[in-house]
Amino acid sequence: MPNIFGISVGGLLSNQAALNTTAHNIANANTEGYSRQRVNFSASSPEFVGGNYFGAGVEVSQVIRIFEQTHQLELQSATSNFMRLEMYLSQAGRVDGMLADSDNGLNNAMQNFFTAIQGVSNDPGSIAARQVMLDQAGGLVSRFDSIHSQLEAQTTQVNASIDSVAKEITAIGSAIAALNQQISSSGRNPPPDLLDQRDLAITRLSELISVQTSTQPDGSLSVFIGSGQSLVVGSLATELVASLDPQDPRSMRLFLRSNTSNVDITQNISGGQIGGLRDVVADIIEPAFNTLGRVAIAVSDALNQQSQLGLDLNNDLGSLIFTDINDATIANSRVINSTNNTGNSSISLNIDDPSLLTDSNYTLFFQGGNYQLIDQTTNTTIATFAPPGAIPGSVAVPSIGVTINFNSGASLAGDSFEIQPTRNFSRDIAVTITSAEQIAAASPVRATFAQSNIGSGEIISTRVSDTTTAQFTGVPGNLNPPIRIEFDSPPGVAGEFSIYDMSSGSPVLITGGISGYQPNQENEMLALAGAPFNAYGYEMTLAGDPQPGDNFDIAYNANGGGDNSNINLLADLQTATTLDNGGSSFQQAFGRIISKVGVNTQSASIKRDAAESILFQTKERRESLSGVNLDEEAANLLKFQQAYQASAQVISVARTLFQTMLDSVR
Amino acid sequence: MRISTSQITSAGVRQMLLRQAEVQHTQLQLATQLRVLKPSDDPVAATMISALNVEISQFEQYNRNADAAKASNELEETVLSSVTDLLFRVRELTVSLGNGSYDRNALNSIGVELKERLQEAVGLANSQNANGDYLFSGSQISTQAFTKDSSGNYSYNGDQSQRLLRVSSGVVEPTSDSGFDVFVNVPTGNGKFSIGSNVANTGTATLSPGSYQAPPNFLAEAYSITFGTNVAGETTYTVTGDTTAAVIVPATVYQSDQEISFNGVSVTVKGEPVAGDILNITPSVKQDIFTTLQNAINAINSFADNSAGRASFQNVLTNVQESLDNGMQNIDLTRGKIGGRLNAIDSEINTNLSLIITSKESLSDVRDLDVVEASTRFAQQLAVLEASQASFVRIQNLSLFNFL
Repeated sequence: MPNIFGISVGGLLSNQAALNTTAHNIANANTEGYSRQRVNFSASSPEFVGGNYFGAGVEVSQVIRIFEQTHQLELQSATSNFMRLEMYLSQAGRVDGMLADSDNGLNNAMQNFFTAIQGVSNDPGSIAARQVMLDQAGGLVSRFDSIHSQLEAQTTQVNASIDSVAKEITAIGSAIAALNQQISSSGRNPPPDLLDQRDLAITRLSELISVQTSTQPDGSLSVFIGSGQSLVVGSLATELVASLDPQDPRSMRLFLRSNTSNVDITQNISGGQIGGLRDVVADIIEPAFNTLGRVAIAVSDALNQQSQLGLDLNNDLGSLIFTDINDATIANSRVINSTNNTGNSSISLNIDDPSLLTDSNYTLFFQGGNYQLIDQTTNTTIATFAPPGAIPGSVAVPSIGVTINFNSGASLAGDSFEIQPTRNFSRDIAVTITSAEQIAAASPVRATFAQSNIGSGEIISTRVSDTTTAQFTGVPGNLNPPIRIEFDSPPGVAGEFSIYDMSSGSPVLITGGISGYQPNQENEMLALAGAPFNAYGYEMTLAGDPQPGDNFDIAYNANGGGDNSNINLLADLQTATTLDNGGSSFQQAFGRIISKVGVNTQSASIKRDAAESILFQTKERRESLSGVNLDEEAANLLKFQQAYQASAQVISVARTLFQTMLDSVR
Repeated sequence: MRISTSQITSAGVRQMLLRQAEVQHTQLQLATQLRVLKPSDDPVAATMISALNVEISQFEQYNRNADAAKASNELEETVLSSVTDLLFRVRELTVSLGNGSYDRNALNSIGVELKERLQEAVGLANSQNANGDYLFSGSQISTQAFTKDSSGNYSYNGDQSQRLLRVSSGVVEPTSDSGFDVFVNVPTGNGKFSIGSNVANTGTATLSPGSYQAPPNFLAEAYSITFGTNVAGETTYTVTGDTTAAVIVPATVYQSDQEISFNGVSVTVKGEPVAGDILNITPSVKQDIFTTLQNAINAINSFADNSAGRASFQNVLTNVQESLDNGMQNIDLTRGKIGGRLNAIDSEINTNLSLIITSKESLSDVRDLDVVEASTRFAQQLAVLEASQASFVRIQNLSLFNFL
């Protein structure tokens, strides 16, 4: 027969345990990751007395946490997705804001520079106007440099963040391993608070990186990152190490390191803060560097080329306004040898056609006796070629407008090279002319219509296409030779004109009897004359009806300070479509980064809001089930208190019964 | 659904945070009066804003160019209008020279005025702009356009280049004319040929300016009209080519006021030539107007007051007047071009201005804030925020423990 005292003491103890748990719940109402706990009661085994089973009271069967594993899994994936987008958005927003700021943006500086060029065009002889142009060129260059350095600072900060996140991942990994150890050693009924702590640690880990988990029979939890690489197995944790990329020391690679292995998991990493950091570099920061550099290359190349076709106030041929895009040091810096290379190739990259450049970086890989050029953005092979027969030698890759120079040494199988055609030119660009007089506003050739001409022939235009020819370089400050085109017979009669050398002041025949002049049409005289005249590097267009004896002189445009024909051509470059395969001007190409970054940031912002909402709902679902409700706990307090008081009352009744018995035998 | 206590807090706080973010964004929009604060707010608009800003500054640049082009064309026009006035006076003077009075003193005083006018004309051709650049030196702006050498000849020191400025995306307008084009590239005589008489002539034959009409568009060579006497004692003339020495018109009996025509040339000879006198017909050359004026002055200085001298003077004068007319025509032509340019520039300025206005309107459409809409939105968002704050406090106060 069960003992009434035993039963009521069981009731007292069980309800006390329930009251304790309620108190624990109330105390932890605001603890992050806490799951409310419940004491499960069960009736004690009944006793068989006299052909009947009598209940033997209550006992505590289990203290459990109210918890649903799917909620935890949902929370992990929602957390890592949200944190990836949150990090991405905050970094992208920085670039977005920087590009939007009209004082910071490049277009203003570009506009000021071209306005200053027009100023020189208005008044080509004015040193003041030229000085303004020189200053604005400096302003443009420093704007390129300042945007570059802001991006560079951001890259450095991103790399530092990747490093610290990797360290935090390692730390959380070891904490999880330690919790695994405690949980697996605590037997069949693991402490709910430890399980909560472990789940919380995994949620924290999800903020940093996307994780997968699997529960082991001993209660421990294995944690995997990347594409299934284990961070924690049982009580063993591996270390996640970030180190600089041997191929490109400006970016980070991630390794899982244990006592026995060191696995590169850079390409497999996704999600969480670390995923967001890596994505923002790939989507926004690197393309911004490359577009900026590409615009800088196009500006430098186009203006330099046109400037070289002009004549400055010192009567010298035009010089480079900006840094030469194929300066040897810069060409070398575009190719980075992997530190793992075993060969000793020294490679550089020249840019032939800025309009064909893209925003990609490339990998040059040597394998099986051939080089492979791989576009890192599309991951496709652009070109495969054998090393040049002789070193130094070059291989042109016309599809992307570059030439790869093999300067010395040889590669061995497996060697690889990072090629960044445009990334750093926005930093490297500088103004190379030093004085206002050096601005080449004039054309270096001057055509003169002789006063004695009787025909209606007129000079339509002169055009300079190449000032590196012997005709320009042979005699400094003069054409070598200055020439005269003289008509010998009326247009339409074969052998219309002759070309004379005028270096001595009086005409000396070079070639006579040149035919093909079409009266009253535009005639390119030097092209008509054929070799060698068509390679002189300049051209004169004549029209009308010149008569025998008429002549036209072409000479060096000495003291042509008032000529603005070359500066006009420089000014026209503002709207020339020099980029994107003839599709964009400088400012349009820069506008493309603004829109690209804007679109990426906007879509990240939308996705972030969606992810935030999903994360919130996931948390709400978990809270809804596992969170503490203080009203509920208050009700429970009353419930268990009443049961406790009732059990105590039973003892009191039992005591009275017992007393009655005692009294009856007295 | 079961709700945990922390949910009540987190849901309330989240709503308040979201509302606050909205309020702050609207407040920023109102403070800056801009709809698009950063490219990501509206990437399409951001690209348009960037492009429109570039477009507007380009149009504004074209208008600054147009203003500069207008100023330099107007300056040139002012100078050339003075030149025209001056040449009218010179033309008057040469006409009064040819009125036949031939008073020595009158000639001298006209000569003095012509000299003054010549100085003035050269001065105008050597005009400089505010920067001290010569207007009519082509690109050689620091070289004086016209100088007179020790032997009294005028020479042009500039080149033939013309400055151009872009005044709209499609239009480039000249902002200068070279001295060569304005003052030098002027044909002498009637434009096809000029007339002259041999200094040794003793007769009084004078030539009319004449005309030329034949293909090709120019004289093949210079011609001489030589006078002689035939067996009948009549005065005859013979026309020969100077280069080919060919006889073009064989000896023909001369009559005063008779038109002589050959090879497209028509001239009228007046007066009484003497056998051995020669009149010349020379293909036109290009001669600057200063040399033309100098020729008139030289003719006055060397004027011989006899019948042959008067005839020779008349011939020179005929030529000078013709050349002067050509010079005036050429300057009128240049002024016509300048007028055309000024019209074109004005119309480009207007086009650019209306494009600027259109672009600014589009810019305002895509970039600027609809203040009414934003204020309404702001008020609404504030009301929602206040409501969520108030309801949060009410819910937060509910607790069973209050009743225990």
